[in-house]
Amino acid sequence: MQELVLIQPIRAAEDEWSREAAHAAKRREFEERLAECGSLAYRVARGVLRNDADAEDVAQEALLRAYRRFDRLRDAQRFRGWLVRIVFRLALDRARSVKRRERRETEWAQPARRASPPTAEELAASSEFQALFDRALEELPEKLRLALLLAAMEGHTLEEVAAMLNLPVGTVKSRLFAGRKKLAEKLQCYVTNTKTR
Amino acid sequence: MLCDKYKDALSEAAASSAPLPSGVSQHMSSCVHCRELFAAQQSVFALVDTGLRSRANAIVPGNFEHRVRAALESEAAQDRKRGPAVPAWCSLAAAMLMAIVLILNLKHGGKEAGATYVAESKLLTSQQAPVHSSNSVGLDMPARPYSRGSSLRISRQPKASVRLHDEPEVLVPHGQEELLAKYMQGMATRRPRVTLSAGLQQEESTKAVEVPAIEISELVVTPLSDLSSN
Repeated sequence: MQELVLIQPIRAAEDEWSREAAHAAKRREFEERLAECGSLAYRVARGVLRNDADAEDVAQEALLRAYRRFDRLRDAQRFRGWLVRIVFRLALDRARSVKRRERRETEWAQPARRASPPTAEELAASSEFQALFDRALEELPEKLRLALLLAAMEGHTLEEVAAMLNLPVGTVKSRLFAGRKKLAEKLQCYVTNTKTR
Repeated sequence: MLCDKYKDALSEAAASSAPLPSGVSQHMSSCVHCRELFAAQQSVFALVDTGLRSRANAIVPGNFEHRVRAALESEAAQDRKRGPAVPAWCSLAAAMLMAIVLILNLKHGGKEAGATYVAESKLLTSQQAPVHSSNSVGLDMPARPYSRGSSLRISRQPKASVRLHDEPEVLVPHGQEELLAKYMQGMATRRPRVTLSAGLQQEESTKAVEVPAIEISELVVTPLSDLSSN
């Protein structure tokens, strides 16, 4: 007895065409989303990383990941929130690895990382504040940080942030409140010190 | 001490930008310290908001979308080359199914090895070479040796029993075990023509082809050069 395999060439070609068509449709749909949410992805990454090149890399990687898993997204309305979560997670991973790398580098080479501009007092104060603010933001819990970043983006209402995070508006409000308060506590010393100077 | 009880209310009001409660605002109108504290709190929150806004609203590079589209293009090209993606759960399920079948086979084979397969193999003598009768239905000829392309492999005799009885493993199509046994008995008693009909009901009318045994009395070997000279 021998195994017989039935091959239907026309059917195979049809399958191929339908696959091609599905790919094209997926890509078209995704490109529409990209035009709509590309800048959001970049801004979330930039908000976490504070570095343009890293943010661009991470946002691109996140968008590619989203494209690969686009079929699995059942509710197209949730694309923004889904993308934001992917970007945020990737950006956090990148930030951690950058921090590890920086630590390694500073262990080997001792020179100061950032020399503050020596002349303008204003500028120095501003960069000092930025550094302090960055540190304070990094120390915040992730869920507070993401809520703060999304809410601070132009054009985002509370309802939109809640929809993106898939949370009730009340929860988002309380996260924003808690986040701002923690940041303020950390920056309080800086403000009082600069006022007494 | 009096101001301490307003401290929390002041910071709450500064954080939420909500209007001050009437009691607190009355106190503030008379207390310079609380007014300063409230102003400081407000300026801190203003700084926080400014910092957050500058952080969250970075200017997107002009070529960002273009770069992503280019990356998508190459991704789509790879997709086309790869063909349809098999979901991870499919491969996992297939692997699990294979493992279950293997385990069941091993258990089943272990139990029946002593009964069925060893009994079958006893029909064969140890001098006989392993044969495979996959397509020898109705033909009076020895079965072909087992070939890799064939998909039929009936015997599941475990290695242990092969070693024990020192008998060859035989691959027999389903339902032809008895026929093969008869054939082998015929071979043992040097009766070369034993009909190996399939035993299939639908092919009962098929008559076995009888091929007389080839007899070569003497074999003369002549070199090619001799033949050409003649």
